[in-house]
Amino acid sequence: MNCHEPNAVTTGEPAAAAEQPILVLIGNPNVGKSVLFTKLTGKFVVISNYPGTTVEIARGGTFVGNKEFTVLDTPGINEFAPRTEDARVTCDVLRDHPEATIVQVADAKNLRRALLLTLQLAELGRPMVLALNLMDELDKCGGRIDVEKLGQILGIPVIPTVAVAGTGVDQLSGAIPHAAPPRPGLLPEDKSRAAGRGYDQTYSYLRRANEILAQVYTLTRPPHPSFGQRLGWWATHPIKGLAFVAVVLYFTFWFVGLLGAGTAVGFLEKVVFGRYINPWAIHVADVLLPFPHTQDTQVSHYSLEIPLSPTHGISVWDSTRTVVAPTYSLAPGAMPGRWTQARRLAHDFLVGEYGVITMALSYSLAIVLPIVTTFFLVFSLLEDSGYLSRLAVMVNRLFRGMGLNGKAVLPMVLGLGCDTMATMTTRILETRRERVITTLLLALAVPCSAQLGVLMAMMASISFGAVVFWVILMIVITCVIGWLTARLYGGDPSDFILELPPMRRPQMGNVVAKTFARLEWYLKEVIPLFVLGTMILFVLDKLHALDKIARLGEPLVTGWLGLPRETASAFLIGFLRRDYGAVFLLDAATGPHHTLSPHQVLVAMVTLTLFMPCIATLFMISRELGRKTAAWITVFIFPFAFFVGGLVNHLGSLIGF
Amino acid sequence: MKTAAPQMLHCPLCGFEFERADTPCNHGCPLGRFCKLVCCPNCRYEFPRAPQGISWIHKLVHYGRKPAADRELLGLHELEEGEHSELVCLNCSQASRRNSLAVYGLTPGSHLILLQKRPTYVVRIGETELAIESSIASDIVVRRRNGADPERK
Repeated sequence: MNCHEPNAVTTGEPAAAAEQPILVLIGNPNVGKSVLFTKLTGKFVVISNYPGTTVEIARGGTFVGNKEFTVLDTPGINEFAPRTEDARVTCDVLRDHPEATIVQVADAKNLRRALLLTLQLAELGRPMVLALNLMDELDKCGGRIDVEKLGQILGIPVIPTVAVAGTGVDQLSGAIPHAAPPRPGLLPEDKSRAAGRGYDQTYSYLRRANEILAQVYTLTRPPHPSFGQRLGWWATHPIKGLAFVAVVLYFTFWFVGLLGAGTAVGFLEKVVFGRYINPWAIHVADVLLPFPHTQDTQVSHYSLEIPLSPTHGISVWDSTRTVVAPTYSLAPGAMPGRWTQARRLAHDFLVGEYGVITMALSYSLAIVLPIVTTFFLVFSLLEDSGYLSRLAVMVNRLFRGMGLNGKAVLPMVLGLGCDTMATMTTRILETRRERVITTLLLALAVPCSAQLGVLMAMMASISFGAVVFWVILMIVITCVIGWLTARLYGGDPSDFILELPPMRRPQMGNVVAKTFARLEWYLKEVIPLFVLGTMILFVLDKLHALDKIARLGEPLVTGWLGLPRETASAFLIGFLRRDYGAVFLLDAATGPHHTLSPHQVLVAMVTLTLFMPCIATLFMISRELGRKTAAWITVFIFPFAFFVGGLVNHLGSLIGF
Repeated sequence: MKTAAPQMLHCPLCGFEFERADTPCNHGCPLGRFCKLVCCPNCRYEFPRAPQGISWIHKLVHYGRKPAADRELLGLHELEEGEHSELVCLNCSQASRRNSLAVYGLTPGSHLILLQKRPTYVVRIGETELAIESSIASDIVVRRRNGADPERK
């Protein structure tokens, strides 16, 4: 099926304003389309050094002279045929905008493959401009391109650019009015395209590309490989590569687990919220909504540490202070009237035990925010350096066993940041089978960073052996469920053919901007859910329904899982967001009045980790894979989580843990 | 489920190379799958297949002493790390696989450098470094070219 055939699937893209001319950025994956898009429009899109990051179309506006153009950024494609989801999206964009000017973005180092795409696009006969991006990298690897001659051969403006530095972007804008359809006679004579798009056509176009290349491209390779090249080779070496994985893992653990989840969370939770924001909010609420009561106080001890290992650190600052707590006792003998009761309700809603500020905001901002920020920072660094595709090479064999291939590593690692985001990223996988398996594993056993943070805090109350057991259990469940699903689903994993982008030094500006873009998405998703969860709890608490639910869930929670009945509310709220449910258990596990034994903490951790990550993930699964699959996944996950939790409980009791 | 490369057998008598599926005694033999003999389709000589355990020990003993394949045309997986080669043809049964390799520049006549074999094959075509798994690597038929890439070792 050709892209411009009328029966192609529609994207449902809204047609742009009729008068506004359109520019479509098209190019191979990982050549800098998104950077160029940002430079042209001033709008930020998530950019990464990993092929296949743009899974949705970004739109922006740019001025060329005094005329405004709408710019569309498309996912990278290797050939102009709708074989993959990405290519389908790109093809549909071109079909929906038949009047659009094409700006092909090419990796100057990889001119051959860019020319293959140019020739395929030339078939459309649309006005085109070719931006030869990454000219700085071409220089470094000793290549030269005769830009003028290439322009003459193709019959279109060819502009060398270095999008990251902004070089050549103005010239590119200037060239857009001169965009022209490629020269007739550019395509090979043998007209193999009559036979349809396929190997024969690709072969004949590549031969033509080689002929053009011979006229314009020269390469004098530097005598020694660069440090980046060597680093890239080490990262995929069977032994050095494993050491590389270990170093990356340790750094991630230190930065996210110790610095983010330990130091930063402690500071925000105990000092910023515990000593300033919460007491201040309680004070304001007391003034605005007075009723006779005495607020409780608690002693807050805080020590700022630079972490070295989970148990050791260099103490920098110690302080102890008595602060106001969100709990209170009513004044003795007070007979509150209706209005006073209403004020008390509003007071509780804002700053009570289950208050929007004292619980929802302090949890989402103090516990979740630092962990998610540090995780996304590390993830963006890894992504931009080009390491993730090398990691895919290292784990390909392991993933094969689960009916996937190495490419699934990107959504799986991103899932450690946010499962909803990762579910969307499964689009980079080629077959529906792989997307279903990856989505199921993400929803089942990959805890997102917010949850990891809460779990890590819970781990403080159990032994190191139990933590190792939890980690191994999750890995085993991932492998076994992946293997079983692959068997049930049938079929073979798709071919593992992955381009390894060069290792590059991450651009700090890009890393920070990307972290912010992801954080914004995450907070928009998390805070409303946290507030909603708190509101539900608040209502249930006021209606004295928490107790009834606890009684209802007793056979499951107390009988099967062996946990105290109060934890039923944690599982109830775990349906909404599993980390939020875990926050409850955290209180029961490590709070001042902790009620859980280490054995119970482990059971609760296992059960909650296997829960559906959050309601937003469920919506995303249903959007990506359809309602039926989402329903199946849900029906499987919850009973399975309770089943495994109970199994851990009973086996644990049996062996005396 | 795995689409691994078929194991090639060598007749010890005539030296003919063939696949297990090509043996003429496959059908109608009363021993069925218990039969451990292999029949050469060229000279009809029957010989026992080396049991897996022994071939594993053989591999272990001869680790790193693998004789270089001296045929003119070989699978990419038979090359040594760092060797240069020229692609002769893509032996894939699926057209889609052939095309997805071609869009990266893997077409007859292109110059390949095998950068590594484990844990996954990595080849360089021009400036593209491509990771491909072993089942695909064995589908790529190449001819050795002079020149090595010693820096990669």
